[in-house]
Amino acid sequence: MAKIAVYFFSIILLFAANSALPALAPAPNLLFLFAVLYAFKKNEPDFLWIAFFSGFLLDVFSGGAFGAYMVSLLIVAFMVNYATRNFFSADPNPAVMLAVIFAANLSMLALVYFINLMIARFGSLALFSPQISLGSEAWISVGLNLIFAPLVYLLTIFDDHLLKAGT
Amino acid sequence: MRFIYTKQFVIFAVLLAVSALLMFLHSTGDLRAIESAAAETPRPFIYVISGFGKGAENIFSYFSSVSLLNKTNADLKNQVIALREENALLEQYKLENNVLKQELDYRSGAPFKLVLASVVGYDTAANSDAMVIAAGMGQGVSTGDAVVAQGVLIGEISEADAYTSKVLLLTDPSVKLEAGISGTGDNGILRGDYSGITLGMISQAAQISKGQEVISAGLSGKIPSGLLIGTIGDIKSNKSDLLQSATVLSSAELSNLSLVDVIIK
Repeated sequence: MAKIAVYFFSIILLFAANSALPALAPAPNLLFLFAVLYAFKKNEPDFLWIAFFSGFLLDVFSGGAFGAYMVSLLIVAFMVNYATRNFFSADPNPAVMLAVIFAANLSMLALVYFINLMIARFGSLALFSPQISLGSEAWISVGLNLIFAPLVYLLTIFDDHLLKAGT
Repeated sequence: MRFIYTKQFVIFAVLLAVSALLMFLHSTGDLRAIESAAAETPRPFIYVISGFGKGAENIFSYFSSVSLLNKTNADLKNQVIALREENALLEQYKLENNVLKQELDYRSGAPFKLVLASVVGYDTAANSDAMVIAAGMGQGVSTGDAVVAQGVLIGEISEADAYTSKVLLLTDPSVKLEAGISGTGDNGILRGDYSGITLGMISQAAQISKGQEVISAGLSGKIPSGLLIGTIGDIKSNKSDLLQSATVLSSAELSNLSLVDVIIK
């Protein structure tokens, strides 16, 4: 229960923080970072729940196809966790983590774009506005994610401490 | 392929399926209540955090507005300088226009033949009070001609070239001119002394006082009589002196002339 509360408030807090950055448009995607950074923790399936609910929240406020963030974030987080468990024997160093975040970010951009495109073509999305274009804004957003990653990582560490203290 | 039997993959697959279900429910409109609840949940947090965000935004906007104000201020300063330059030019035109009007007024009623000449410059190199005008022998100007500005005698031609002439101003020490006090018939000799003009050699019997008009006597040379020179300033001599002398205040701005007339005889 404590775990659910901690994750819930973390997700809400990060989403609110993301919303409070109107001047930084394009802004970093703090929920994406939170989900991906939790995916680095090898033996916990919590990152999947985090990715799911983070994606759900992003979809609720997104102007694109509903579910694009949910599915994309789930797949990306799963891939990151799979890579971490299979290719890194020890905990990855910060440089590797940033490289993985960069790759994950590109993967998510592509997935969101693809899902939006598919739903626009075959589904109910009448007007496809490619909010995630591969233009300069997307690259700035990727760069901002790399900058904000350490801050979100600190939050994950803080959450872990809270949970340990709770148990 | 063993990873598909792991707990994580099962959860992943289930969540993917749930996602697909939610996407379907969203398309049918059955997810509206949940979406509304999800949208409302972070609202208080957004409200609180955006308060901090607004504060930070205000700080950034303060700095950006300062830089904008600095730029605007610099632009306005440049505009002020440009307008001042333009204003100075217009003032100059206005001044020249007034001078021209006065010259034209004088010329229309003048009993002499006049040659209008603009002042080219003052002779600063030589140790004299002189200036060069843009009229010379080509226009009929010759040495000794009287030079007036708005009807006030200011000097005489000392050198005449083809198209320019040098004018010795009345303040030049080499100028020596017969002049009289208007309305009295008393005459004296006018001399320049750089700082001003002195009317000397006036009979002790003459009644001179401050403010009296001094005019040219026209006794010799080409300078006609009756031209206004200026007014009596300070009386320099004492009662015991053989002759009287007084300073003369020129009625023209000798140091600031732009247009003059040469009287051609």
